[in-house]
Amino acid sequence: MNNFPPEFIHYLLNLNLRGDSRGGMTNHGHHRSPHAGTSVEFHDFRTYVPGDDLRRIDANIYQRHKKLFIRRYHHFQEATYRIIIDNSASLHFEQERFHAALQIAAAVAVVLLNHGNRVNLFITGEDTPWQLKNGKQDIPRLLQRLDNITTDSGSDSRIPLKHLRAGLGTHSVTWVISDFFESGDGGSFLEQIRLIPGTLIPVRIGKAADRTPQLTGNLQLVDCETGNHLNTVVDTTVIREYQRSYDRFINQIDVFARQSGAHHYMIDSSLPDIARTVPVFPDGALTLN
Amino acid sequence: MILEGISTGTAIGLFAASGAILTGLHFLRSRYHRQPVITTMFWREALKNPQRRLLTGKWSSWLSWLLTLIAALLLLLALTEPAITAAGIEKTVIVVDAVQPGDVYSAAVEWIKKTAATDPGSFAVIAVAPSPVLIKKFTERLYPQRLTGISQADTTAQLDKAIYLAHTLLLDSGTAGRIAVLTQRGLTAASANGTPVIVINPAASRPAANIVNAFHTTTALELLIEQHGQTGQELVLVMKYPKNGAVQRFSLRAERDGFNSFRLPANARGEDAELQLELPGGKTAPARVFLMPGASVSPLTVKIAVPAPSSLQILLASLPGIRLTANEAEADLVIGTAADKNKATLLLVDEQPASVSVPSWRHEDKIIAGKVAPKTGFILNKSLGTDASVCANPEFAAAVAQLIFDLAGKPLPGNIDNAEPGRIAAIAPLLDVLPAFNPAVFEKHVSPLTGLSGWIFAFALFAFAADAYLYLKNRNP
Repeated sequence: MNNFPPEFIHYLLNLNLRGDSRGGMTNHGHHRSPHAGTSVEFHDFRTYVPGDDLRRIDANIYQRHKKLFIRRYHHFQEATYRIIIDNSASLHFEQERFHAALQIAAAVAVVLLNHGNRVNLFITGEDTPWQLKNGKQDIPRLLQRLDNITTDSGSDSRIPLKHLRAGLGTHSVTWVISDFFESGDGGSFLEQIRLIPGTLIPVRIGKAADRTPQLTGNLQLVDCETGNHLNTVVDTTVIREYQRSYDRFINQIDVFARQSGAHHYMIDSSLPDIARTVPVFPDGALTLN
Repeated sequence: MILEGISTGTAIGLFAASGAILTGLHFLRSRYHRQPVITTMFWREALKNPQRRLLTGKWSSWLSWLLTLIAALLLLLALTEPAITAAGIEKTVIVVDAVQPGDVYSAAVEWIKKTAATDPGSFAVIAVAPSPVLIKKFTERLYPQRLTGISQADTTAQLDKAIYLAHTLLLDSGTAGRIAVLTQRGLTAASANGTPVIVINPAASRPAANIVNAFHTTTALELLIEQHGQTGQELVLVMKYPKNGAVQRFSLRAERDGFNSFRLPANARGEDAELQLELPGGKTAPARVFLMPGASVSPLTVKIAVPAPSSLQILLASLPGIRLTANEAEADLVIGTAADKNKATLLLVDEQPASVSVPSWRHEDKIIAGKVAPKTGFILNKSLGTDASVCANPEFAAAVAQLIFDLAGKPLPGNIDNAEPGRIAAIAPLLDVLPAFNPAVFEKHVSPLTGLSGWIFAFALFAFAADAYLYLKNRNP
């Protein structure tokens, strides 16, 4: 299955980045820090006080007004953008789910690269991330590597926390693309990503029908991830309880996202390629703030 | 290998039937269709809710336990085959003479199996070959295999010892009872210490149609003849009295297929008469020795003043519930003639030839000058008095007995069942015939719990057990 048809790639390349991104390629991050720092962009003046760096004294002002003022500059901090793709069996339960996950990951990464940012891509179950440092030049490589992840290869939901927690700057933004269901070892995916520092943006892959399963009768429910089975008689009462449980789960993700200062995006994998990206790219732009 | 609880054939049949049912349930049970889902985390939480499915959730373990108990109880009932025995059924010890030709003995065994199957708790069985062997206690099931293979010949069965043992069994059981002896040889003892002894002569083998199959007497001058085939044919009963060389012939007519009951004439009482049946076509059934057992009911003493020999007198004499006397002082009932109408204490029975063949009776009270006039009973029967064989007509005998006891103001002894008026069922209790020897009567006294002992409940048991098994197997942890 071709995850990235030409019209989709064309769509990706025309997505914008909304926020304070300056675009272009630099060695610094493009998030302006509220603290005035040592970068080259002028910010304002302030009165000299003893102990200030004499090299920052503005000579022109001194010559004109015989007063000492210090030039201050914006401090630009390098931001770290990371994308985590859940490669567990549940996302491979239906091909379109993982297909949607790859497309969302590609869309976020392409927008960031297209605007001169570095992106680290993490696939659960893999120990080392893909580091994309070369902006637009890395987009073909990104798409090719994402396309090489076969839909039947996933079975691991382990997150390489070691890499995610090490070597971070003071600011990081991480998109977590997953269904957020329990992992095979019985643990909660949410509990795992809670350990990742920085801003976490949950992008949940699912379908509208997940909340309203069209099941009834005597069923042996087999968990596609664990293989465990559950015998039950599914009737309206059970479905009602199921939906309550499902709603609680959604609420947990919402709370988690708010605590992280981000939004919770729901991607309906049953929608067409471009339509399914709309929640993350409203008006054709990715919002960083 | 002998299975004590149930026979080998029954065990095999039970296994086959239960296996078929379990196999059927296995394929017909509510199957859980395999349904892969993306996650079971929501389903598990949904099933944790204790308010869901109270019956199968909260009470599931109790329900399963109850089902198990029910299954065990049904299994017990199905295998023990309980039966409710009506009060008043006397216990009987069957003594079977095993020193007989094999086919005769086989016929006796078949008779025991058939009889004891009706109410096992009322029967004990002793085989004599030649020493008495206790085959079945009152509290045991009958295992027919214990009876087979012990038949002997060319020796003398110790029937006296067997009858003594039977009497002991009855004493141990604490209830009154009878002893039925199945033998072809003559018995001189009419009773064992007061316990009535019935002698039953088993037929050698089941004859072809239209031949007498069973031919025996019971306690009270009743002759039971089992005959299969054409009904309505005439049988001739020949009674020979070795003591005086007298011979009587009676014409009998079987009215139905199977068992027919006939009254024996009164003058057979107390004597060792030799009975022989002359069958159609000149054939003769084997001779049987008839022994009169002791009366077991308190008789109604009757003085009859009509001139002897009277057919009424013969009839009354043949009724075991009635004892004739010549002493008016000890009589419960005095039957006079038309000349005695003025005696206030007498009962009057008028024999009046009737225009119909159906016997009937009535009595009436007349008030004369403030006194109760003699009770007058009328017996209407067009054949009355014409032939002694009328005494062998059970319908007429029953009618007369009913009249006599009614005139005396006493209830008929025993539990009269007039469900079939004029038939053997009506007269049998009066004659104190052991019900078990007459299937028509026996069925009215014993109600086997067929619903509990039948195969269907055994099947229900396995269904319950299988249901409980499947429920537990498929229950979620």
